[in-house]
Amino acid sequence: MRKMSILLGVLVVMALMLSACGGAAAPATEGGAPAADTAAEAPAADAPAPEPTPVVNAFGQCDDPMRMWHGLTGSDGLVFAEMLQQFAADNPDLCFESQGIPWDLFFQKYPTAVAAGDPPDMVIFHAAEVQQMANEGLMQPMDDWYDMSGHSKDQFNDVLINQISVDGSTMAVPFDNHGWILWANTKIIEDAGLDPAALPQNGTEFIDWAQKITTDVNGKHPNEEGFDKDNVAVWATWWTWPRYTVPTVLWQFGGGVVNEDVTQATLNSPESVAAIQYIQDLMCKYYVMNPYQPGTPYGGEAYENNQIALWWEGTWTGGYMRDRPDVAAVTEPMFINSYAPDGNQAVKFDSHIFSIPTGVDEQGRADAYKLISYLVENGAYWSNSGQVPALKSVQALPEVQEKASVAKAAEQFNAIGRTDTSHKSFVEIQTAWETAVGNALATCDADVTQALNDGNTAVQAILDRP
Amino acid sequence: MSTVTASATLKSRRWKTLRDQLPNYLFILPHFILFTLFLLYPIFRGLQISLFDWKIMLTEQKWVGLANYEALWNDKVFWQVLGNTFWFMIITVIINVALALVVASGLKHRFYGSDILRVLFYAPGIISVSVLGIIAIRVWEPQIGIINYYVTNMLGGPRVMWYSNPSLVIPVLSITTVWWTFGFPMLVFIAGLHNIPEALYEAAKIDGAGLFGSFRHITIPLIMPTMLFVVVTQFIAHMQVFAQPYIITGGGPGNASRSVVQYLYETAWKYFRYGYASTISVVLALIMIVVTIIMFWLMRRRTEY
Repeated sequence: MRKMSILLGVLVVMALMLSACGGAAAPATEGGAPAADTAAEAPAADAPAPEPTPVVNAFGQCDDPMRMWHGLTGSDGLVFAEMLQQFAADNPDLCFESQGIPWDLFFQKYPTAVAAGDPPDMVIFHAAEVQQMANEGLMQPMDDWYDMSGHSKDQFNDVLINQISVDGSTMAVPFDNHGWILWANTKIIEDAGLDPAALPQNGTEFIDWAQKITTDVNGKHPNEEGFDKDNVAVWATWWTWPRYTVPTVLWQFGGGVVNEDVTQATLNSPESVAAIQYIQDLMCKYYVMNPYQPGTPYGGEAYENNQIALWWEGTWTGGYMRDRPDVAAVTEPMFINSYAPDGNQAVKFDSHIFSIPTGVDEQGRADAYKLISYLVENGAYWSNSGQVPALKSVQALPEVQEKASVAKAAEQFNAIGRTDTSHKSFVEIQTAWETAVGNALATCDADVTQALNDGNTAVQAILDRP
Repeated sequence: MSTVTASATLKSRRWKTLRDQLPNYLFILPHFILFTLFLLYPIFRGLQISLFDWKIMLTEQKWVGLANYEALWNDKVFWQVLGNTFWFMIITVIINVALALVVASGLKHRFYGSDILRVLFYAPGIISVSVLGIIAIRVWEPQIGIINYYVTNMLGGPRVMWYSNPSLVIPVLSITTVWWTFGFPMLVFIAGLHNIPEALYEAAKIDGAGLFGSFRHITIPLIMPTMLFVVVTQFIAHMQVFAQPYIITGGGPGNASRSVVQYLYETAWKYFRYGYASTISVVLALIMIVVTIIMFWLMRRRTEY
């Protein structure tokens, strides 16, 4: 019996170990082979093309392949891998490697590789981080790509081009526009007797509307006697990733984290305080938004279960909808609704950008430019991931316009899109305001003004640092 | 003449001793080289970098002396995250040690199913911290988590915001960590308990000592050497907590669950302030060295070998 229990124990441990390994392993390819194997066995030029994976891909064989690092390891990573495969088929003379690295690790490897004199030939990260990376001396200007490719800067979103320009040089090439879009569950809205085509136009209208939508498990609304706030069945809206949600609401109210010339923190301005107070009220006074959660809250499961009417989420949710046709059938992508009393509209967007690291030689740069041009010009395929192609001419293509969420997001970003303010300490400023907003929303009795005052002091201290 | 002879004899004896001991030095040489390369050098390099405004791409770094230490002294966030870390460490170490000792006492003797219980209690320790994070989020999640399901649906209680409430978040992370890590101290305690002679318990039983009396007067004093090892290793491990808050809460709400190592990591790899990050690491190391020495001093006085 003792032997039996030991055997059972060993089996349990082995099962746990295997499950742990399974979580960390590269996703399996269609044929069931691990992704890492695909990379390890880089085929000869005449061998069958490898199955694309979001993590590692190698195309062709040579001593000095062009190397690319990026953080596209999610569902968009698979679409990206397919694009690389197509590029490799069109350019059999070029051999290159693509490595997907989770963003946190990417920002450790990238500066150390550049400092060690062995950078990849091109990298992909976000437009918001360009100023900081450029200030660290990690990027090369890319103005010559615009001359060489024939794509002038005015073919891209001008707000975005401003964001990636440092001291008169354009440091990167945009691949896409991505950010918040409204995913409206038309079934919930219609079930509540409301018209999905007539959503509230401002913050005041939204509260009335949201109280009609939100119901507890007994079918009561928040403005009715006996509403059970601990057992809500349907929420009007959901607390989502503050990195996008908070700037969007701040801008709608006329507030922000810093002023236009990035010299003064404005996190405690009356407009900013009103914006965050409004969010706290949605959670704690009107009970139409789920309570605050730290980290990166995600409502995918609740949305799938028809528990969220208006879901502020990323353009990349297009992949989620593609995998769930039943959910997509009752979903309408729309402009982000305004919470501001006057209905002022704004939405945050960002961009995956291509960059050439410091230290890359002419050959590496030339090879990278070929790939960059291909990826930018074939943005229509990239829109399969849900992201909006960066080139406006590509956005207008029929195959892009037929994807409802991509078409709506493109229209929205061009009309009301804003990007984060650039600064050499961008990430530190971002952490400071996220901390302040977290303190303001953590509990329903939190003092919003005090929390934002503290955050304002922290942001100002960063701005004042030489 | 005799002085010269004595000196020559001494030299010859020293050389012989050295020659005799040479194999010993050769045996430890590989470790010493690796130790110097990967531990001593980084420590001294970290100390050096903490005195500069270090930019990764500059060849000439800007000397700032003790300015980073002065800034750290005035850094409210540092003191807050240090407090969080100590609070997390204290709760985790106390529960871990107490629970591990009690469970080890129960599993010391073999009985039907004791082996499988040992394996089951140890098993969570082999999962990766990423998996732990995913499990913890599913368990503690306020809307769809298992705990709140029982609290609200079964017991009719209020929906508790486990990790969004600043006063609950550290205990929640501690309990999660205890579930994950208490297997190791349990095994160490089981080994330690086997070293206590069974005759002592039999004698105490004859003298009328009960279960609690035996535990208090025999187990506790004689397990102290093991206890010292467990407490010190647990202290060192949990003062360096990083991935649990980083994955589960991101350090929030606000800074309520941010740990020193998370702050250090963010300062270096997100803000690119390597000099200041090195200062944080130096100060954290000093604090841990001092507390460890105090622990040794306090616990050795009570240890019976």
